Amino acid sequence: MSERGAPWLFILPAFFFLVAVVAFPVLYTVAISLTRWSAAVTEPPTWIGLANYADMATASPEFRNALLVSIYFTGVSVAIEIVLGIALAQLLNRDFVGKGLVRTLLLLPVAGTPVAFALVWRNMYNPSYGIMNWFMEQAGLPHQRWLAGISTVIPSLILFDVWQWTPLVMLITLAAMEALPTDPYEAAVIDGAGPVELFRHITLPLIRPAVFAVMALRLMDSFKTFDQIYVTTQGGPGTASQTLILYVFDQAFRYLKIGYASAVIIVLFLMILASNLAVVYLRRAAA
Amino acid sequence: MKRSLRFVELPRFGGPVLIGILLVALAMPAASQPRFDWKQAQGTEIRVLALRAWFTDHFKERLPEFERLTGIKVIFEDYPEDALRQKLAVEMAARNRAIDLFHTGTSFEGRRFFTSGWYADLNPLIRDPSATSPDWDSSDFFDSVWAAQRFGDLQVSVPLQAVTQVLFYRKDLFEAAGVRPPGTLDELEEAARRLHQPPAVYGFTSRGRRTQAPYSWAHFLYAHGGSWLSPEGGAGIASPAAVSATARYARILRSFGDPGVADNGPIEVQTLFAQGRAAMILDAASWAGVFDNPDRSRVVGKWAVSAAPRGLAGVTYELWAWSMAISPFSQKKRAAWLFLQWATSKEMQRPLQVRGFPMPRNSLWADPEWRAKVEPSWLHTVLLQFRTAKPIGHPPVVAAAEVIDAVGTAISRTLAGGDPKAELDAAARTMNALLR
Repeated sequence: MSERGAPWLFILPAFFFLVAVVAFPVLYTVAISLTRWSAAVTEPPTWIGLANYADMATASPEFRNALLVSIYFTGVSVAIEIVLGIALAQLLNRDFVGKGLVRTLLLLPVAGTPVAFALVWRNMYNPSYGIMNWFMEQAGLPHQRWLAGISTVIPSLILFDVWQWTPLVMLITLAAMEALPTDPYEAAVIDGAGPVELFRHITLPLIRPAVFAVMALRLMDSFKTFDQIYVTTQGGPGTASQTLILYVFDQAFRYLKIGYASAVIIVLFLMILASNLAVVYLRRAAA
Repeated sequence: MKRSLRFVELPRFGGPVLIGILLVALAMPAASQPRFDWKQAQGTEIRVLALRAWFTDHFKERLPEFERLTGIKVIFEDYPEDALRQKLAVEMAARNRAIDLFHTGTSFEGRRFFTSGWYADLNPLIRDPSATSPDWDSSDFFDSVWAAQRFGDLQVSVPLQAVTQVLFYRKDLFEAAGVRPPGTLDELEEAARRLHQPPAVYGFTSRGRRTQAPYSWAHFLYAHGGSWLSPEGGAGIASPAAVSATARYARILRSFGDPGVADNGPIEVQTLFAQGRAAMILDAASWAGVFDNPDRSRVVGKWAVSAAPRGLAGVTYELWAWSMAISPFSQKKRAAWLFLQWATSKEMQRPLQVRGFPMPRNSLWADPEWRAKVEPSWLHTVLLQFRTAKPIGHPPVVAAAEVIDAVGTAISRTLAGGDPKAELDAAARTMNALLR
């Protein structure tokens, strides 16, 4: 065997593995998305070209609604999580008694089962017997409908998501902060920089790669958030919290429209890809 | 005196003899007829896709008895309702031979399963005396419940339980306020108004969640003279009757319901009533057991039941039943049928009836000992409704899930403040596209 051929041979197993578990399912889904295929009817799938995509674009107000709900939910929750996560990390990036305990407690939401938490939050949000309205009362604020109101349902879900995922952002950015060298800070302090300047001109630029990485991670995850929303609202009231992934779920597993659901999932896949490319672009632009 | 004494003494000597003769007479036909062979499928293993529910727990508990009786091993896989439906659809579409029996709600997915050929016909088994035990007695099931298990000439399933919606009300609150239990929807609205003391007690609450609202709303639809389908076979859900029914449903709930009504599923409705936070609910008759259980209810002894109220167009009691069916792809239909008979036998259904779950067999409702113990208003109402209930279909179309979601969205949005006419028109457009 030649020296030049050997490396290719060594990557072959990994190559075939990737083809089998990544490329094949994606391509197969693309193929199905070009057919009309109902799992309930004993007819084979029929080739209909791009008709499923055309349906999405023109005929389906539910799809448009799901798209907007997804962007609203993901955009706002990821933005809050990033800002809050960095702030928490900055707060915890010092030595104090019980630091380990605080960090562990903050990580509980990430470590738990989403479905169990979702059931707890659903009960907490119940306008008649949930604890959230009790808190509102103690604070002298009016009762809310929370998950039962068309305009309050997404903010309520965002609050739940922020509670669950901010600790992850905190953990990753905190790790980046702790690995930073101390010399730039010492130099800046000698030059008379205050804590705000230190954070803005030293910490933030240095942890930027970690922030962008966690942003990409959260965007990917958030677009695919299923269990929390399914268990708390099932997309309701009406379709007010029906994100794309819940929409796909209904189309595929309740209405059994496999072809159309595949087309929607391809669109979702492209959206996630686009959002991650945007993060990569931002990161390069910032560097 | 002497004569009457002798007359009295007769049973003392004659009794045992008479009983002996009777016993011999009873044993005779059994001896002359070949006994039903429960061991005919010995050594088989069958798999059941089941709903996670009280009746499934009951079957699982008693499974060792069945395995001793028949020598058949049963594997239960149970899922919550939505997950079961998804699992079933995927397995059936793949024609999986490994599933022998499954739980099904024929009023909901029956038409889709029937048109897709996902039910085995039970008639050949029921008619075959070597396959069906004479004790099983299919004529014992309520006609209305049995009718819900038939599509065309096919007998697709056997009922595991049956439910109609009844009006649960707080008799203590009604008495204190001097209000009579409502017989009509107008009276329901008036009673809700008088008993509404938020946030301590809401006058009337019900289901409002997209997938759940149509179940409770349908009673209002029928009572207003509406129906799922128009006489021409199109969508009937935006007719004037349907719009007025929806407007009434939303008006009562927005005025006298709990603030979370647009998101209420069965758990919320049940919790609100069990916690004493609702004066009335219109929901599943099978909840009586929960409301009578001091561990789960604060209203033990404080509630009663009356029939679901009439509207201007009279009243229709809709039937819902969970049933068990055999997969057409099963290779072990005989063994599956033996299990189905055992699970739906009088002996297996009786303990559930005693626990307050209404069962679909006539004979179980006649037991005087049990009748003496249950809340009388519940007994009479449920029995009356069972005898006259109609298995309409929920809804009576193949694309049931899509139609339920479209209508449920309209109801849920109306509950959140939308206009019923506009919302139902949108739902009817979706439904008509599905019916085409």
